[in-house]
Amino acid sequence: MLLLEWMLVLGAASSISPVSICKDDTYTQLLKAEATTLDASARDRIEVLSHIYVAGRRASRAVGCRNKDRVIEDQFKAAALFANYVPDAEPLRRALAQYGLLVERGTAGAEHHRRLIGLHVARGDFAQAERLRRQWLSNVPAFPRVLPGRFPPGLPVYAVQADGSLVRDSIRLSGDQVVAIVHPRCGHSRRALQNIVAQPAYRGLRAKLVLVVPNGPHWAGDSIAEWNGLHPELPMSVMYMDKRWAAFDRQQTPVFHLVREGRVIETGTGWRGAGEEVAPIMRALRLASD
Amino acid sequence: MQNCTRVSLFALVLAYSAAAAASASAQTGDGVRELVREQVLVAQKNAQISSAARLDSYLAVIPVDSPLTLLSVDGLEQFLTSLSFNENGLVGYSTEAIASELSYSQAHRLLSLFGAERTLRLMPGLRVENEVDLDIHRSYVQSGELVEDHMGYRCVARATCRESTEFVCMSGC
Repeated sequence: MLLLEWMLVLGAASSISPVSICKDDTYTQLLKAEATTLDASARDRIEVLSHIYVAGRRASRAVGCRNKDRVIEDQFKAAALFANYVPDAEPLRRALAQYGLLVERGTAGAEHHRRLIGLHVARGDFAQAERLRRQWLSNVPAFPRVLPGRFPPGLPVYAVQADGSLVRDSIRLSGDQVVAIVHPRCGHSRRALQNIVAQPAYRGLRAKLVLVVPNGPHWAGDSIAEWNGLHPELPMSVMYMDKRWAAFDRQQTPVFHLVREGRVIETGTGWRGAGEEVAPIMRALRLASD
Repeated sequence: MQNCTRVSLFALVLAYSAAAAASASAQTGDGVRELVREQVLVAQKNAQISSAARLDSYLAVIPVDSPLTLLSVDGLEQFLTSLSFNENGLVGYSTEAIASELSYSQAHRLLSLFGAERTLRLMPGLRVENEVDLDIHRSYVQSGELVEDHMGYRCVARATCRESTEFVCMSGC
């Protein structure tokens, strides 16, 4: 049933015409596709969004829609949305180009600045996000400073320091590890972690656990710092969007990945309350009986 | 009228701050968070609109000065179709129309219908047109965060928060 819905979305994407883009723009179609693919796998969802984004980009180049401002705005918002899903350079470049046009034509407003700042945050470019914040949204809290340095080999992350600044770091996978994609503002993540931290049954799991927050347009540094202050033995770091994270589901939280010698071999998604989602991982780690 | 609104707002913020401070002295860390979460859920469950049925009733005899009328026709449709309810009241909505069409005071009036005005802190870029907007901005956007409201995500059935542009996954999800 869901597959049928996705096919309909894909069908709609491929039928975007220069005229129809004026009626139902790419951005709106992407929002609708996000809603219809809530239960899809991360890969399927990106595929659906990619089809719509590419078709909308092509259609926007064709003559047909007379409202140029609206096309630019639509393409900016579409590129900014899609750039949150994939680490590719293209949607980021396109969003920046369309934003430049909005500024040039005098139509850029707070909403556009906010989206562009969010895009830089999602891509881990905090210096650029902070520069724009000072220029356009100075009434919102400042973004963190990233200390000089390069990402070491491994899965790239930002380690959050006690003063809020960030250090380029990495997760080096060896042996068995459980990489949990969590978010301090996600109730399901917090309940999962509260249980894992407090219950003796999860002691073995805790020893293998690495917590990673998927970065997005909405910076959660204060919440991460708060968690890290309360749980220094199990800190959260922030994922740096990069192809090296391709094997991990970063679109939802919590998701628990059992990684053996660098390969994801088991995944548990969600936390309904009793911990059944991590049971297969516990068994694979020989931390629980069948 | 405007002064009246400001006084009530300050009274609410002061009451909330006092309660939060008292709670904080009694407990720390996750305990405080749980307490605040319970307060938030009480507000959501007892809001004027706390279910799809209550929304229908409200829309059937919508007051002329309803904050919902502040949205454009398209914005209203988008907002209403995005609403998610469960036994805890409103647990998710799209911020798209609010962020692009309303000022802080307008958004505050609208979200108060659902007991969701605290989620204003997740929308730092709303219009500021007057002193009330400034007060609300100061009270919410620059306040500390103790509640599990998750911007850019949507609550889904498998007990996860899933990435969704311009959505907020609220406490109680």
